[in-house]
Amino acid sequence: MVRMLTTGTTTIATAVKHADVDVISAYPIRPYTGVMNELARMIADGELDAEYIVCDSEHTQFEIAKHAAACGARVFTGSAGIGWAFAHEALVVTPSDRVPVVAMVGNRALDDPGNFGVEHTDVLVTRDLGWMMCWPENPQEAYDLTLMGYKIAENPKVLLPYIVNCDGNFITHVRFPVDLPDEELAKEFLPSTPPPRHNVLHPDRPLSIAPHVDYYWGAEIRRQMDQAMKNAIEVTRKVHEEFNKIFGRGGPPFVEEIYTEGADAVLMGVGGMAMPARAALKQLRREGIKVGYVKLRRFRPFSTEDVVNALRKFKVVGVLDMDFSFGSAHTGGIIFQEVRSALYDLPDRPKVVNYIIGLGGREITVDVMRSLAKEVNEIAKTGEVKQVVKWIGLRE
Amino acid sequence: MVLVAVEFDGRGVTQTALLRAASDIICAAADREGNPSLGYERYDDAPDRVGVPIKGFSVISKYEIPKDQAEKDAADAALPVDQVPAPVCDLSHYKDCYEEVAGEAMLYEPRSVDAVLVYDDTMVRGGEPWAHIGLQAIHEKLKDGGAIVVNSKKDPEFLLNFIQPTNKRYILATIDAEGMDKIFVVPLIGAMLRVAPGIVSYRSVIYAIKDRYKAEGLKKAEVVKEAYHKVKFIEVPPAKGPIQLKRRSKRFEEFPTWKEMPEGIVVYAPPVNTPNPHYKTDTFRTYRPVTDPAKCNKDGLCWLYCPDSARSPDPEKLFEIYVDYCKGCGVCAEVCPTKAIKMVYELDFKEARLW
Ligand code: SF4
Repeated sequence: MVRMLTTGTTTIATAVKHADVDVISAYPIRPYTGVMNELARMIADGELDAEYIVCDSEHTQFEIAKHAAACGARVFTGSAGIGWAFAHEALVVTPSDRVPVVAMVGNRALDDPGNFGVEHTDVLVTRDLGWMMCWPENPQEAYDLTLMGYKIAENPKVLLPYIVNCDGNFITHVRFPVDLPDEELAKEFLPSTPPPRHNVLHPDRPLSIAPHVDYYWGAEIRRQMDQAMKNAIEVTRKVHEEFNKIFGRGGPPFVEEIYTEGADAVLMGVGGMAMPARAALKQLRREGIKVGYVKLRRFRPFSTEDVVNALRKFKVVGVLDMDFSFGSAHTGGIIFQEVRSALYDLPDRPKVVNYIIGLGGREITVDVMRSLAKEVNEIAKTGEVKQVVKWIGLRE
Repeated sequence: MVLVAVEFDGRGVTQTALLRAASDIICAAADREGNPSLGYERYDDAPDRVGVPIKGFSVISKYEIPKDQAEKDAADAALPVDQVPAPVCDLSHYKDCYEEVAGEAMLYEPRSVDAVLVYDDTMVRGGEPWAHIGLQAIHEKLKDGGAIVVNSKKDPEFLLNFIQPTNKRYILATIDAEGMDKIFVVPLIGAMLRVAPGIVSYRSVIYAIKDRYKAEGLKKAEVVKEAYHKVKFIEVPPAKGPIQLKRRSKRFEEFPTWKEMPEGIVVYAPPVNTPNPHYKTDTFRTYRPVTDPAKCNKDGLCWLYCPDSARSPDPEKLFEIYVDYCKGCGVCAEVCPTKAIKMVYELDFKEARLW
């Protein structure tokens, strides 16, 4: 094990190195750039043997990643914010070609000029395309979820691309203490060669990927992708089990409950905001107020079963969205819509409220988390919801 | 549990890597004692602008600060550096401390700091990195009783003239760090250990430095020790009476609300040929250009080449600088064919004080 004080971009690069990737396609954009810098350094220093292709744009970058993966290479790429948006045409066709590309998205606001603060909307506009997506809470988890990503994406029952999201600055640029495993242990979990699959371009067995398609084929292709996403739930469970066995950590696959014991109300969110939440909820517990936090680790596939089982025991769920869907139902956040819908069939369902927080990279303090925890606790006591969607930290 | 933090104040481009270096040393020292930490540079800084004030931080959570830390450090600092005992790594409160410090991870600046290390003494005047932030005093985030340690050949008393009055009490220290080591954050940290004990211990820094600089480790550790003993410092009492400041930083609540902001991300420009009243870049400046009238041939190259339009077009006024906007880049002095422009150390000017 190597102890380091380092950022999420470095831990992700280390996972990529341990995955022994063959091809990296790169184009700089903050806050993703740190990963490509670190990978370039690793290659220059002889620590990693991979093709490193600097592209002319994100569109090319993701096309190259897709094509390299179609040739059977293990690939890594990534972007952020508008860069991710610019790659959109390539992003759209990657899942339907069923190639296991792994990408890092350094979440970034879309794009009030130059605002590189975190917002999750950049990746959530890709929600419905067939990319798997997960959110680490800290750089340590960023390593874990990246390494697991290859194993999940390359499983022949899945074969879908995979995104590791990282909160811009807070996880990509802040140095935390982390323990990174030795390369041999990582190799035990993830062998250098991916499992064989049917859709690899090779001169020995000529085939064509993604020829012209019309209405005779479209629906079946979508249903195949749907099945792959469903399969990914079970595969993810197994991969987590294996990871936890080998590394002695790694956490649950979809939903992690934090300080939920004895709580009637919980906050819920993805990514780094679990950190101030933990600190706040622990303080409140010492003061005799029991509120929990439910950390959603993976959003695609969304495990309805895990989410419902975790949330059904509470009276109130306050979903924290670092994203927004203009004009949506209740005009709220994207994750809120999904969580609320997942709970609909419960005969005795919790009340679900929504907090819009941290947009454009606005800071999230322990104090803000404390006040939100108290608020959901109050709703649990009185049963009264005054406002379904509430903006937090806004000047009004 | 207690949170402690250190702020590093430097200038864009030339000192970017040194923000990281200082933060890494402090965090590595904390790690040796079993205390989790965060290290980061301010995210919205654009350190590619020459001279722009930039900041970095180390934030540490520890179970407690030993009451006798200053005495322990003094005893260690009396020993030859190769005989300083190794720090004890106590992990008994690690999980709690980690949770506490990670709770501070979603911020761009710590809520408060125990020490400020200043890389360039002209920065004690404060820094204005962006228009909307305004002028941040050097003690903006400093806790009451904290320490400011400046890389400077000057005495603390002299620098005090340029620092905004404050209700806080603090220690102002100087050390000629650049004269002691090219990597001047090493002596700056040594000086900090003396005037702000308890953030990290002397011995943990010695070991972190030895480890970091490998073959040169012992030499650098000597520099830490020398700085620890050499640092000059004064105690600054809180200012008496109400404080009036011409320029200060803007509080979050003072920004316009969403209803007041013009829609569509619009910024109205000042009238043509008038300087921008909102954004002053004078805090980027370490040296100020001064034109010698005897040598100036009024060719106006300084005006033409100034990358910031910070000179008046008037030859009769020798293309005088707009003092609020000159960044002190030195381009005008460089292009002047008669060598009429000298770059003069900013603190030689009385009006360099910004309050
Ligand atoms: S030093 Fe000279 S060239 Fe540079 S900003 Fe000031 S006036 Fe302009």
